Amino acid sequence: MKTVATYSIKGGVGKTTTAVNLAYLAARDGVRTLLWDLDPQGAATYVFRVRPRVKGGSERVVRGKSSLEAALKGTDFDNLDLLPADFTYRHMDIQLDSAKRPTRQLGRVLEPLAPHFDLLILDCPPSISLVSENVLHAADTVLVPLIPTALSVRTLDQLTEFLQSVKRAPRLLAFFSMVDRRKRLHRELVDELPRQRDDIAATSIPALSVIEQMSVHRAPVAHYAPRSIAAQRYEQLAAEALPSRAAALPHPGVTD
Amino acid sequence: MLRRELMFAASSDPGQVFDVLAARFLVRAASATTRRWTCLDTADWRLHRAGMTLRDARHGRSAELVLQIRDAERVAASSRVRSWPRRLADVPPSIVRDRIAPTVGVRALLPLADVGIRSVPLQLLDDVGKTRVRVRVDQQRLIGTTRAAVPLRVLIAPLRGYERDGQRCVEMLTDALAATSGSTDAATAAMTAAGHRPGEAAASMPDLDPRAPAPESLARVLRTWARIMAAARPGVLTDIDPEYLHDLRTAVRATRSLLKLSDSVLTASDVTRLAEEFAWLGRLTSPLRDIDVQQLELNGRGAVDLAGLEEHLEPLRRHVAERRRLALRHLRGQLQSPRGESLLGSWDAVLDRIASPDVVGPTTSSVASAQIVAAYRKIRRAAPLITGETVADDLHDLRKRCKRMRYVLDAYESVCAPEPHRAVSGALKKLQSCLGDIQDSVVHRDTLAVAAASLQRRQVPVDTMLAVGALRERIAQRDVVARKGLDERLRSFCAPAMAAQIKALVEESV
Repeated sequence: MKTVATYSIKGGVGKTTTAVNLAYLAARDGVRTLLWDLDPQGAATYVFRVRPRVKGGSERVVRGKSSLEAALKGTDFDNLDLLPADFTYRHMDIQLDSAKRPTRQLGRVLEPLAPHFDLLILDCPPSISLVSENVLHAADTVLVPLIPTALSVRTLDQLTEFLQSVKRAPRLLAFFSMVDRRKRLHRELVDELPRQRDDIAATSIPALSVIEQMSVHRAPVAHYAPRSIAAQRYEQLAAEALPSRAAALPHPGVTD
Repeated sequence: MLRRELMFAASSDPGQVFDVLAARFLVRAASATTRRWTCLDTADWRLHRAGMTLRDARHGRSAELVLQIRDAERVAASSRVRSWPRRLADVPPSIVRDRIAPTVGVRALLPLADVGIRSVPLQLLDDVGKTRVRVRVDQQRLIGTTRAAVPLRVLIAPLRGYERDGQRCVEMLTDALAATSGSTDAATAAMTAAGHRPGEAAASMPDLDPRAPAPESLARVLRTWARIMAAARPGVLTDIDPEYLHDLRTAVRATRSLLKLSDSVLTASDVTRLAEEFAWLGRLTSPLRDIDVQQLELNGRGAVDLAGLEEHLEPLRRHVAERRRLALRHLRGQLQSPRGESLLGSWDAVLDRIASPDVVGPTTSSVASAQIVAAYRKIRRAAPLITGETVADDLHDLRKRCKRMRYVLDAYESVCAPEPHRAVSGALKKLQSCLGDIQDSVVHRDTLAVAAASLQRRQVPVDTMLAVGALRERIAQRDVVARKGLDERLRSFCAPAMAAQIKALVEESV
């Protein structure tokens, strides 16, 4: 099971939108995918119309008292399951702190799920905390949405510096999100930064109203607007960010 | 995801499924689709008995062979077979063919039910529009002249984490709709609707009343064998697979054996006349069966190891195939002659007379015990003369005596004590298997000698002649091994312990 985390210290930069769409695209191609909505706000959970509740809450999850499998919910899309958000996740830092190896605890509780899924996508809350440290330890790839502003670039530098201290650091891949090419600063950064850094994806996600409508449709963009530019960009980003996608599996719905 | 399959009476209204589920969920129906599938199995239900269901499923231009192994495993491969029945060797290679090959063996796959299906997929949504359960309603109907309705099939697949909703659906539907009686899976239901009895042994003998007159019971047993002959005959004529001929020969032999042992019970002159006709039928089928046995060996399905010889045996295979074609043509001609055509009809009429309430005779149990003891004594009488050096004809004679006893044991199983019957039958089967191996070796060696002479005249490559010689040598070695095992099995079968089992078996019967 490969683990990809969408992470940023800043909020509102497109983490959840990216996590939801990449998870959907992988599942559509036959990859057994799990999306864990770690953000207590539960935006990804809302998009998939699942109730934001996990029995026993954050404490039970962190302590590994009950199997995570029991908390999984099937989404409306084949091959895509969700581990929903729960409002108690806001206390996850405190609970992780009391665990034996606080920075590795999430990785441990995820181990039993490995045989059941090919891909795990972690949708992280916007912060730098013990939860994010756990995520950085557990992930193979950290996907960082970057609004083309100077401050965003600064937070990316901070993250890069932090990852240098991590023993088995994940692959870092940043990508421009919510790009408005009418703005000069956006244009300049999108053109210039990839020349300075080699961890910027070639794909950028434009600021489009069709993406904002995701919370209205409560479905991935690639599902309700499959021919839109936004959907195409997410396809390209998936090709860059996700491990090579497995050959499509038989449709697991109600078949003979 | 735990999937449930429910079957409801064929008369059930599919709309009712919608109505029932709509009481709890928001039900969204997608467009209906149509497809068809053909249920496949061998004539003796080898797949069904092994817990397998095989379907040739067609949807539009796509077709696939779908193998379901109990509830545990599902294997599918694209199907490029246009029509059934078909032997496995004529089915294109695939994972499905590989999985069923050991079970199916030499038998052909027959189309046992053709089903047309109209499916309506339903999504059951909660109050926020989230799918909780997927449902598919299959209206099924047999394709063909009968067009009989097959039970309504409803598949329920709750999404992960919503298993309780799935269970609720099951409860709501089973409460509201009339359940189907009997079989619970779609394939079995379809085959039953098509008039088959999945899994039923063709040669299962009737339950006899020990106090009933023996002629009446014998007629019931003989009628079972007559049904097997009648069922096998079309398969022999169309040459679907070689086991039809085997079944026909077994039924003929069993009939002849029972008639021979019952000459004091069945005294009518037409019984004697028809016994001679069955002897004719038996002789008629021998050449083709011998070739079939040889062909099985040459195709690697026998006991002889062909390693290193395979590539050189091709001319021999072609020669045997040609001989088989001629033997089959001759057999077909005879079976379709007035003599062959009338035999089973005449036999039915004789059985009707034997089974008439006016016919009296000793009780079934007394005749059963007398016949079992007589058959056993005949084997014991021959046993002391059998050694490792005994000539093939004498061993063949012993084999015939064993077969006679086996048919009698099978016929009267229902009036015998179960435990001794099991013990005696088991020991007899082991002895028969050993004698069968010897006989197969003899037949194979003899037919090989004839074939070798013919191949020599045709001046086939030297490598082929050497391979034939090596094959004969390997067959001879197998004969030696089989003969070694014979002595022990024969002594064991004739030992006092077995005689005691026979006594217990018939005492219960009397």
